[in-house]
Amino acid sequence: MGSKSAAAFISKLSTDPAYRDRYRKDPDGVMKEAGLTDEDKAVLKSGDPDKIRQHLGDDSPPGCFILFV
Amino acid sequence: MSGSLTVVGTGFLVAGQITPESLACMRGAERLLYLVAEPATKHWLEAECPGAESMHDAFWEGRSRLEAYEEVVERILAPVRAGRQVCAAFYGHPGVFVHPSHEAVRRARAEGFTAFMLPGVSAEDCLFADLGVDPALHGCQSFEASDFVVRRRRVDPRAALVLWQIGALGVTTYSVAPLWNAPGLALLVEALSEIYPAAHEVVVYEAALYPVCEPLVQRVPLADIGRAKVSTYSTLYVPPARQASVDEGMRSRLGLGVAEAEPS
Repeated sequence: MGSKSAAAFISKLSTDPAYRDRYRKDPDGVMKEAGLTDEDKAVLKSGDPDKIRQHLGDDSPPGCFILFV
Repeated sequence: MSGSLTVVGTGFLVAGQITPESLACMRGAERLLYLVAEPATKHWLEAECPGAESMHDAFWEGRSRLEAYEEVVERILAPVRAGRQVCAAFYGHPGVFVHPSHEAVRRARAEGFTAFMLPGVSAEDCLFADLGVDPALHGCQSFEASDFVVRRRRVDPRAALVLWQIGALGVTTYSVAPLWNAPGLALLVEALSEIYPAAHEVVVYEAALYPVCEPLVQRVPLADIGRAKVSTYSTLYVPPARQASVDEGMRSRLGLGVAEAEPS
C-alpha cells in the first residue's frame, strides 16, 4: 500500500484550484501543512507521473488500460 | 427493484474532471465497479464510495484484450441482473475508445434493464485545451492508430489529425510495458510520410494525470516520432499541413459574399 496521505493530498489539489495555486507558489509550505512525509514531498515535487504512480502504490498493471480493440 | 446501469467517466487528473452528475450517480449506486489509470483516483473513488470494486484484475500480461473486455462487461452486468443499481466508472470519457462500456450498456438494454452513459472528459478534450487548438477552425479527423495504418485511411492534410493509441500499434493483448510496439511506430511514420512532409511538426501528447505534473507535449518533426517518449498514454496530434482553399461558387450560393482573410 502506498502513501494514502499523498493520494488524498493530490485528490484535494485536483478539485481545488485555489489550493493548487497555493501549492504552486509554496509547495514545501503547503505539503508541510498537509502533513506529508519527506519522501512524499520529494516524489510530488519531482513532477514525474511514473514516480508518483509508483509511490502511491500502484497495484494495477503499470501499462495503461487501453480499453479499445 | 429491477437492476439498472449507469456508465460514467472520471476524466483525467484524479477527481478534478468528473461531472457533478456523474459523481452523484457514483455516490447513489448500490455497486460501483471501476477501471482507472492510476492509484490516486482509486483511493479517491474508494473514499467516495466504500465497497467500490476495481476490475483491473481482469488484465494481465499477454491476455487477449477482447477476453479481458468480455470479463469486464460480465462483471458489470452480474449485479445489474441481481437487481442492483450499478455504476461503472472508466477513466477519461466512458464512451470514447472504451469498448466494454458501450457493450455493457447495449447488453443491459437488450436484457430489458435501464442503462445509460454519461459523458466525460476525454484525452482529446484535454489535448484541445492543452495545445490551444480548436477542432472547428480547420476541421479535425480522429482515428485509432492501428486502424489508420491497416485500413490506409485517407485523410485530408488540410485538416488536423488525431491518432489514438500510438503506443499499442497492432497489439491485441494486454502488456505491462509502457510502450507495446516500438516497430509499429516506424510503420506509422511510414504511412504518415505518404501524406505529410518528413519535417512537418507533430505533437506527441499525454494529458496530465496529476495536478502536480504538466501535460507531456513533445513537438517533433514527423520523421522523428520514434525519438520521442511514446507510451500507451500517448496521442499524436498532426496539425494541418496547409490551408484549405475556399470555393467561391459555394460561398456565393450560400450568400456569404467575398471571402475575408482567414485566421491561420
